[in-house]
Amino acid sequence: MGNVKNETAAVKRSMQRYYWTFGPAMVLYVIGTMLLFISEGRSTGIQLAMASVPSLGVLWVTVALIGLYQRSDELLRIQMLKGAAAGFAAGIPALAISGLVFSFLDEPAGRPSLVAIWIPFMIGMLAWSVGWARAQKIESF
Amino acid sequence: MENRVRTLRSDRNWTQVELAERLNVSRQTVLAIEKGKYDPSLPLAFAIADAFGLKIEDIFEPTPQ
Repeated sequence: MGNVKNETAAVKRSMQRYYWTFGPAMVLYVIGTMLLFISEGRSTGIQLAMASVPSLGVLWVTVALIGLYQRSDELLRIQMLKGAAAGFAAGIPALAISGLVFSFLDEPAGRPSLVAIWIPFMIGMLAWSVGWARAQKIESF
Repeated sequence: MENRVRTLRSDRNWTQVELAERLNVSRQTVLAIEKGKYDPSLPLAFAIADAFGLKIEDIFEPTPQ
């Protein structure tokens, strides 16, 4: 969503709530990702617990987005859905292609490639952003 | 679809935010409707007509072919 300074009180409240949910979720995600690097060599239980922290961050982001969607009006909902659709449309083929290609290449080495994990995510997020931005310029639904 | 929302709003000296508050939508939505970039749903069109005390057909009309 663009400039919220000139928005209604309800939209300002909604965006404020979104930022206060999304922000801590991203902090949790970043901290959780860093924990993955120091979890090596620890017991399986601790590794499992540490590995679930970034996932909790991602789930929290999802909760923030669902909340924003539910508080939005009809136009904003359409824009959000178009963005999500673009992200999904680009992310799923990217996931399939990179999964096939990198798992095929990396499997003999016995390690999943970090690049393989990030490529579909980055493509999906980029497509989501572009889709959302384009949806704001669309003429008729 | 064409509409007279901007004219009707200006006649009443309402800002876009004031109209958005009355319709329970965002200012961005009011702006998009006024610019003709977004055709509102039927419930929102009824709400707009109600806010101005008019009928839908007094505010919205099809774009001439």
